[in-house]
Amino acid sequence: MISKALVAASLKPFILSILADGESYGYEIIQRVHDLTGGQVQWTTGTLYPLLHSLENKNLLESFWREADAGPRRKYYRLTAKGYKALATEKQQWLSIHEALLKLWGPSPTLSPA
Amino acid sequence: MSSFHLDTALATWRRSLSTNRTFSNDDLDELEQHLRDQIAELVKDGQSEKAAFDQAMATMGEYGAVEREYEKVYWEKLRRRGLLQNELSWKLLMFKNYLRTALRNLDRQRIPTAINIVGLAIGLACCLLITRYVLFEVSYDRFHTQADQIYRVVVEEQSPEGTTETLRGPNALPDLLTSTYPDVADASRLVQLWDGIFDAGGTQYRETTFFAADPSLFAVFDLTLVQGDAQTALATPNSLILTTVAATRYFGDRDPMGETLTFTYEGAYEFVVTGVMEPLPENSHVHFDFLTSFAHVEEIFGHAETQTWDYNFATTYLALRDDANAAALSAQLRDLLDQHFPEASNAHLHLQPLPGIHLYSNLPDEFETPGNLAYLYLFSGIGLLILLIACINFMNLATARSVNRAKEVGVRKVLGANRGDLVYQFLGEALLLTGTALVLAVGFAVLAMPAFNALVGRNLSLFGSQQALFALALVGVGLLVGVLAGSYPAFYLSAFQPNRVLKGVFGMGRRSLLLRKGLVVMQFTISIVLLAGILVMQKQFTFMQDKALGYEADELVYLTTPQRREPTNVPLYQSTLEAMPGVLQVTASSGVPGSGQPFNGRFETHAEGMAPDARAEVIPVFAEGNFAETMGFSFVAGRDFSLDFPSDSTQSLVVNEAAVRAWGLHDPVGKEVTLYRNGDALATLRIIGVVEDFHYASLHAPIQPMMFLYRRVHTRPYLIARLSAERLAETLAGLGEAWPTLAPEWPLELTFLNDTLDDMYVRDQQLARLMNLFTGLALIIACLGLFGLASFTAEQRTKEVGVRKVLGASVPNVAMLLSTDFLKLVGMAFVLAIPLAYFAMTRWLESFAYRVEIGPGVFVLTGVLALLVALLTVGYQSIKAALANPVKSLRYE
Repeated sequence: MISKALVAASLKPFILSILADGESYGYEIIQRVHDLTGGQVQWTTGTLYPLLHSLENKNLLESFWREADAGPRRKYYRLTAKGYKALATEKQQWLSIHEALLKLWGPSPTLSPA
Repeated sequence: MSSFHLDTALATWRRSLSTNRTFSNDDLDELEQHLRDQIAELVKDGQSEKAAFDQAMATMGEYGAVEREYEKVYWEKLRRRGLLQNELSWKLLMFKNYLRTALRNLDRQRIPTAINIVGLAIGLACCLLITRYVLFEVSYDRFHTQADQIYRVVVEEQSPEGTTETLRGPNALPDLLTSTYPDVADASRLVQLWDGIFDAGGTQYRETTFFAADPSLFAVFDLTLVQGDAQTALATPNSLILTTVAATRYFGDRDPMGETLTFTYEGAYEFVVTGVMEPLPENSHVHFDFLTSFAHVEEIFGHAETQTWDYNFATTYLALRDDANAAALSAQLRDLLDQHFPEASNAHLHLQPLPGIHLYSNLPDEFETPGNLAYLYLFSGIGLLILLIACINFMNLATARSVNRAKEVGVRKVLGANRGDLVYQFLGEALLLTGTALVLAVGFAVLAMPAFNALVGRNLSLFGSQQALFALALVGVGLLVGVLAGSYPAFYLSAFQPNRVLKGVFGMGRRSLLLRKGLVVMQFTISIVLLAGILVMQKQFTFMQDKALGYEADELVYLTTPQRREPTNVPLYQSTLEAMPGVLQVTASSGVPGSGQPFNGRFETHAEGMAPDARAEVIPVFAEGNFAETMGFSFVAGRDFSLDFPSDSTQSLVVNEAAVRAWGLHDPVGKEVTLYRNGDALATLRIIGVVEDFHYASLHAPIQPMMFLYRRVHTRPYLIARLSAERLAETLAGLGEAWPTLAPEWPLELTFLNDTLDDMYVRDQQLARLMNLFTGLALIIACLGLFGLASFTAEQRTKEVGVRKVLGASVPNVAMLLSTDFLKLVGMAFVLAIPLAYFAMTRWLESFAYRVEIGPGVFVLTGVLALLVALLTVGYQSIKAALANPVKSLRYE
């Protein structure tokens, strides 16, 4: 399992990235993350929705209810222009950390003691 | 099959959250759909609906944590959308509801509410008065800007009998100190001069606060000159500074500067007014209306003479530099005297911080009566205890009445109130009551202030000085009491289980009942200790009043004669007075019981039969031959002085039994006693008579060895006259008329000895009156609480009483039944209080050399009184309940 702190930190980029692919709803987002990480990242429902609402408050997302033809009413979220900008920033930040770590771990196997 | 219905489970879950305002319907819809999706998926994977529901709930996260997350977003949303106002107005609405509920409740229960408020108000008022007093006492001499830098020099002299401390030090000290120690910034002498008469062009008053000081006093103390210049005001021997009060007394609206005042004591001295100052504030350890230069004193006695050890009379005050180390300086000072005065080998100096003088210094030659630190602690303690008793009332009545509030708590909880809300609600109610009580208490305190001032002998005002501090203390005490008294009921009430109280299953918690009883016991323990205390005090005072003093004090008056260095015309006074009808006898002496030492110091004496080097200290009284007779001392051996024996006036002694014991004589009459002063033999006298021990000083002090010497009195002579009880007023008037012809420059000062004797116990009486007051209040508050509890119990047991009466119980039976519970508590308190009271009062009695035994009688009386008061309090309610018609109480069954 991935540590709690890292899961918490990755919530926002995950949400923004998934919604950048297209509008979605809470349960679907959780499922996507679950599938993408092979079950390594488990979000509790109680933390996902408040975060979605909080991002909506900050105008990164907007939400709307959609009546499906053959299914229940669901609340969908999609990115706003501001949300796309925020995603770009997030991406840059994660990548720079990622690259830095890669440089350290690099081609030579310095991770294991010689 | 399984009784699980998914829709019901989800509906229940939804309802549990719907009371929380942070979850909107929209939020719940969203969450519910999420759960449905998740459960559908799990069921598809083959799980049962129940298992799927449980798992979905589990992935929801911890109950509290989810709420917290939603709450965070909720507030964020409010802020963003400018809806904060709505939320606040919602809170206000809730507050209004709380307030309305509180007021309704208070209104419905007027008697307990009144008991609470009045009890708390009395307790708070006591505290306010005491706080004022304490703040005032600790503020002494703090008004000097450099108060912490100012010290007073104390001279301690060591003798084989112990160390005596005095404020009268060498007059050369200030110069010596400033020149020796760089840490001493300024030093000034201060000395109280004689009482005498000031005369400004015919306007005459007798003044008792005439002081002399160095000009540097202005650098040490904060003295505010309204007129004149601090640099020059005390420059010359005839300069004089008046306070504004004195200036008005002598000059009215005229400008006093440059005016001449004549001062008469041993002679007439002319002074010129060089300054007018504000009077020193009340919280100063010294006050003077007239201040002249120390140069005046040196002019009278001669500068060279005043520098010698024999002329030690000035008190020295120092101001240290800011960075000075007072403790180190005090240590260095110790042996300063030894180096400069050959006579001072046994004398040392130490420093006394100025702000501590009032409460911590009690030297024999203080300028004014110092404060009493023990009283300060005592009063503070009693104030807190009274407040505690009032707080207990509050807690007890609130928890006892909780039955009535239980349903409200249940309904509020069902409607979504959580425990925190309820705690705030009940704490708020407590604060509301405390606030009301506080306002009432301020009113009480303002009304009681004059009486309190008379009791403590101060001139305090509730909103006088230190307003900010006092206001802060006021609010602080209010909050503290509110929280203290309110927190227990708040936590107790808010813990009710709604399902139980709403079903009517409301068991009075045994624990809370026990606690309530315990608190009542505590209240009465405190009250009974105080009650026993005042009874013991009463007993001691009665004892002191009845104690045979060893002389007949009634109809004995004494007159103060002018103090002169030359022998006065005392014999003339004496014969003039003796000739008056109504005057039975007149004598003169250097001392009168109750008015301080009859002679400055004691004589070392050596009696026949003692070891050659042994010395006994005996207090001499210089008196006319008929002193013992006039006072009414009774002789146990020998005879009084007599004109038939001319040698009596030079060679004889009359002594008291204590002196005989000190000398170790068995057959004292005829024995020789040699008097020594500073090691030199002065005279050898023969004992001709022994008088029974008599109380010269107060009953606090043991009887000292004394001897009477038949000598002309030169200094501070008192004329003592025994008057006839008949036509006393006429005699007094006659004395008043005759006096001006005897001592035209000296006003008649006539005092009844009984008044002086009473004055010795002013402090004891003051303490007794205050204790009576506090005890009364403590008892009243405790009884108020008991009354409230009794009325509550009677109300609770109305039906029981009805049934008992129907079954044949008599009124006394029922009344007893209802009262005994409370009387048991008072009895328990009594048992607890006895040892406490015994301990405390034994300690107090130790301050008297002559005291009563506490004895069991006091405690029996205390117990009877306490029970009686409790019985009266509880009895009314019990009898009322017992008399009620059972038909009425049972009708609604």
